[in-house]
Amino acid sequence: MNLDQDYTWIRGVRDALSAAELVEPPDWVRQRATQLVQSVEPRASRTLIERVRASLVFDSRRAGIVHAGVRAGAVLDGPWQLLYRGGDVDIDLLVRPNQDGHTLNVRGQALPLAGEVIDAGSVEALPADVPRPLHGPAQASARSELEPTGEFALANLERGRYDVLVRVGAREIELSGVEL
Amino acid sequence: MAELKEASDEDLLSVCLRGEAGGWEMLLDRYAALIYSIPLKYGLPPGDAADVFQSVCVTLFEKLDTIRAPRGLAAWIITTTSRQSLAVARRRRREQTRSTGEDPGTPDPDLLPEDELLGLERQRIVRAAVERLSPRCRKLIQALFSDVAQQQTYQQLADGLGVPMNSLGPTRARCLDQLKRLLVAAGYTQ
Repeated sequence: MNLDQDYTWIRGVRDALSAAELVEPPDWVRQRATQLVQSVEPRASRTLIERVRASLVFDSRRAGIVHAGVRAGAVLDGPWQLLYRGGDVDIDLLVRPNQDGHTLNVRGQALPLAGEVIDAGSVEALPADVPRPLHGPAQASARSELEPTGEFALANLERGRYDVLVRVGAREIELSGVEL
Repeated sequence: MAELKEASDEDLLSVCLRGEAGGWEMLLDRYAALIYSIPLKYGLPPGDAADVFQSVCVTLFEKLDTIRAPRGLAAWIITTTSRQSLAVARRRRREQTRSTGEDPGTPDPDLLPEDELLGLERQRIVRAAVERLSPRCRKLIQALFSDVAQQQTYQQLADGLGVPMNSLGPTRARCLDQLKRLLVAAGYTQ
């Protein structure tokens, strides 16, 4: 092997061996994970659609410490952020009011914590106070496909209460009564 | 256990799914450092890194039957651990904002660039390949690539390894060749 010709390869190996970024976990951390196999059975493959209702875990309109169950105060004029968790998916919403005072844009990201790549997904905002038909699709106020990164955008929504449906693979996550 | 050490990821997943002894432990042995290092790279403290580690292991265990591609396991682990680390980092930031009522003044954390995370995987592959070398080659490669070796003469290196100086060159070539073959088999790319 000619070391000059293979300098790039050698350098890559040397860098990898000298880098101190790869850290072994403490023994107790590894042992705790090892014990999983004694306490949990692997699940069967998921084939049916799983419906999950997401819960609100963060609302930037609630400044400082608030008591559990206390609703947000007056809606601010500036942008605000909401974070929901539905099953193992985090859904971030950044709400930005338009200049006209009665519509707003929502940009968001659905982040499956289980690592799957999003190859199909969509988001719909449905008026929360309008009954939905038992069969067939409901009339959405705005709809967006999910990007592979999980990002989406809902444009020019009227202010109001919405049920936001996020479809990620075989999961449908409902964000109920989102006040926009 | 020694056979499992040589098993491909795909075979190891099959062993785990059949519930055979040692499969899960070997899987953890192979990827523990990678899983634990990603939350640290996101700047999380060791306690949070331990929680992310456990959470990723639980998810991995639950989804063993959905991971099939032989080269897909490392990518799955990197993506899952990265997302869970990001979720914890964002939650920590929000808790800080909520408790102080002030914006920390730094942007919301985002996913780390893929190349940075793949760098960790490259390190894991290289270390694992070096571990699989014959003891003599492992010693030589580690000596060659250590910082101390850069300061040593060939004679000092040969003395340290207990081999004649004139055999150092051919031995080194053979060991590097062995290492390269192991790396190629493991899917190592620059």
